[in-house]
Parts: sequence; structure tokens; C-alpha cells
Amino acid sequence: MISLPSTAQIILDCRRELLEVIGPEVKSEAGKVSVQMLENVLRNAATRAANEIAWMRDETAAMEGFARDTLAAAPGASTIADALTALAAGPRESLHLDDVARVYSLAGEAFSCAIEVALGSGHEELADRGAALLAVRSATEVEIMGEWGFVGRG
Amino acid sequence: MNDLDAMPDRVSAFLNAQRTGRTATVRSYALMTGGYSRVMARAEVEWSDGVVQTLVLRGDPPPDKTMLVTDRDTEWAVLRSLSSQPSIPMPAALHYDGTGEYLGTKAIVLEFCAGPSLQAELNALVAEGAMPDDARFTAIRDAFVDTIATVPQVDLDALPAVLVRPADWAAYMSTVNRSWAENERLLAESNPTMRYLAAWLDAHRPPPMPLVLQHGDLQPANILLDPSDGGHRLIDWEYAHIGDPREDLGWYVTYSAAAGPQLYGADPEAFLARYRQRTGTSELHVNQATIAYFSVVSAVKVFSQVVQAASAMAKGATGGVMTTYNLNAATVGHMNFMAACGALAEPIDALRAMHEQLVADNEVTS
Repeated sequence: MISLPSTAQIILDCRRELLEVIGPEVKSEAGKVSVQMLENVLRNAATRAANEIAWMRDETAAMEGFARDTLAAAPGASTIADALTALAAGPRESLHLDDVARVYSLAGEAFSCAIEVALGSGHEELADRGAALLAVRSATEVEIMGEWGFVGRG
Repeated sequence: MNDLDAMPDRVSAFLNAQRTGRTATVRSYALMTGGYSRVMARAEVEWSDGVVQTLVLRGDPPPDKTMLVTDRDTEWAVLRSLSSQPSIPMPAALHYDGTGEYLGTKAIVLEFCAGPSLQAELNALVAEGAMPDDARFTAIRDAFVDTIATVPQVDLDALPAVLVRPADWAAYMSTVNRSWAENERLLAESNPTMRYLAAWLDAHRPPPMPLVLQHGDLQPANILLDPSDGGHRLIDWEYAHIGDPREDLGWYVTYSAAAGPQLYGADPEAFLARYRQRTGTSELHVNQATIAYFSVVSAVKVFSQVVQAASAMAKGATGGVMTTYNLNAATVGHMNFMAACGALAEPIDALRAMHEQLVADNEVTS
């Protein structure tokens, strides 16, 4: 396959075309709002395309580790055990985007079950660690978002 | 409603079917921007008695473009009920095409309010470089507080039966907090932040308050200046419900974090003091900590619909740039919700303990 320009570069070039060529030709207010939204979405998509597989795999490992540690602290937590079993059966070796996203979601479910156990049992150390992992997830989302504000409101 | 050629005749036919005793001719029809959830249009109508009237049509978008699902039948029932209550400033709800027979979709016809909205006034101040301590910001904040303070004072008995009446505050909070997790399970992928919030909110409940009417989407863009009398009108009641009185304040805090300038954040104590004075509520119940708590609670409905729309798109059921554009609102939500939880555990638990002590001392009811 032709790998360069990268997917992110291609998307950003579409964004440039939208802003410089198409946008000035749009006259209706609703059309202008759509162009502003598209600009934003394309910028988000470029950032995701460049990084999402690596980001999801890193976070998957951290979430799975948290779920295993929580299960060790609460061995009877069947929701965590079941979610970890489902995760183990996922397509973990594949780097195809759909498979990575599937495993990421399965790890997210195991992580969620572990958070519920940690908060429900008052295990402060695990609860704090879970919150810290969510902060990492949030930081990734913010990097994808970049500059953002509501358009078309008023 | 998007067919600009056909709609003038359709609107005329609809109005003429309402038996107003006059005949209507629609002279112009145009789509409106400013709302994200519904299709909005403005129609200039000339009546047979010579009166010219501007009307607003508010309908559902096509199913494959729907991002936020609410029920027009319920909204119409609420609007009709509120129209009869003079304490609520809002444009009159005039007619309803409850089948879409005339307007192509279920659509509510409202009196037009020329505006501008408080958000437009804020935007104008920002554009001219006004400083945060400019007295005009304070005037807008006070108008905002005074308008939103009317909502929880509505007589619940006057509201339509279609609005759910929770058994009590505790049951209501259980339902609302649990809905974070229930909505997460409907998504195409897991969302651990939503599951965390469900568990955290339930473990850290603030002092309870009597349930009241809540608008559900209070923000400056939904408050219009009526040039005819200088008053302000509340619009967009599609999320109206009976709930905790701090939800609307909390929702505004969440909303304004993404769409400033912040009328609350600039001086929270002044904002809340005015609100408490207008509503007769206490500082134990309405304070920065409880409002931050409800900034998370109140977001579940809209937040869930934003991420559910993305899930529907992932399954090929819907589309539109609005869906992906609004994923950034989910990002802002995740960030703010987690920050709130991190800061709130101690103060909320202290308020709850204070309330329970007062109950034990028979100084307040539970």
C-alpha cells in the first residue's frame, strides 16, 4: 500500500480544501455552521488516525492490570472475573483497528466492573487508582479534541 | 420541515385547519439555526384580518439525523400547561401537529420572540472586548438568575400527568445515578467513566431537597429578550422534568464550561446568593459543592444521548456531522465530571453529615 502521505495528512489536506475552497462558497447560515463542524471533526479524525491504535493498546494493558489487582483484593467479585474471561477471549493479537477497538472495549468493561467493586467496597486506594486511570483516558480525549467550542449557538 | 418549497403551503394548510376563525397565508418560511436537537423554522404569516404574525415551528429531524431523542407529545403537554402559568416567562405555545399530517413531522408552533438571547448579548460583549468586571455582564447574570429562579416555583399539581412524579428524593436520586450505568450498557463500546460516575454519585449524596420542576437545559441561549416588553422568555422545554432543584444550576455549570463566558464561574457566591434569595433556599442545600455535584448528575440525559448517537452511528443506524462534532462535548464532560468527583467527596460528605445532625436535632425534616 501507499502509506505516505499518512491518513492524518490526507485528512488534514481535506480540511484545508474545505476551509480554503469550499467554505468561502457557502452562503447559508446553516451551511456555514456545517463547515465549522466539519473542520473540527476532520481535525479530530486526523489526530485519532495517527495515534489511536497505540493509545488503545496502552490503555488496555493498564485497565486489565487494574481489574486483575482489584480481583485479587476482592476474589469473590464474579463480575470482574467474567469480564476478564471475556477479555481473554478477544482478538488480542490483531492490530486491525476493529479488533483493537473490540479488545479495548472488553478491557473497559473489566475496568468498569473493578471500579464498581472498589467504590462499592470503600477500597480507597483502588478507587483512587481507578480515577487516575480515567484521568489518563481523559487526557487522551482532550488531545484528540484540541481547540473546541460550540458553533452555531446564540 | 426542511422542504423550503413545500412548507409554506403546508404551514398555511395546518394553520387553516386550527379553526382560528381566520385564514392564514404563509408569506415566507426559513430554517433557523441556534438549536442542536430539533429542526426549527420561522414562518411569516398574513392572516385574513390583515394581521401579520411571525411563528416558530419546532419539529423532529429525520430519524437518520436524530441525535437527541425527546418526545414532542410530552413537550407540547408541558408547554400548554406552563403557558397557563403567568409566573413562567415563555413564548406562547399555539398549535401542535401531533401526527405530522400537515408539517411532515410532529411539530409545535410557537409565538416568535425576536430576541436576542442572553448568549447573543454575552457574545457581543466578548466581541467588543468587555472585561469580566463590566457591569453589563453582571446585569445579564442577574437576568439569567431571575429567569431560572421562576422554574422551581411552578405548582407541580398544574403540570401534566405525563411528567413522571418520583416517589421521593432518595428514590429519584437512585434512579438518576443508576441511569449513568444503565445508559452505558446501551453503548457500542464500554465507557468506564460513566460507570465510575454511577457508583461515585451514589456513594456521595448531598443533603436532600423537595422535588420541583426543572427545565433540563437552562443556558443563556435558551433565554430570549422580548423587545415588546423588555422581559425575558424561556424556550426549549424538551427536557423538562420533575427533579432536584439543583439540577438546572448544575447543568448550567456543565454547559458554560464549554460555552462561556461563565455567568456562574465568574463569581459563584454572588450567583448563588441571588438564586437563594429569589427561591428561598438555604446555603446548606444550595452551595458551590452541591451545585458541582449536580453538574454531574444533571448531565446524564444529554451526555448519554450524545454518546448513544455515536454508538448508533457506529452501528450504521444514523449519521451526520453533528454526531461526531458533539463527541467533543463528551470529552469535555468526562474531564469536568472527573474533576468534580475528585474535589467533592469531602465537602459533600460534610454537608450530608451536617444535614443529618440537623435532622437528629429536629431542626430540618429528612
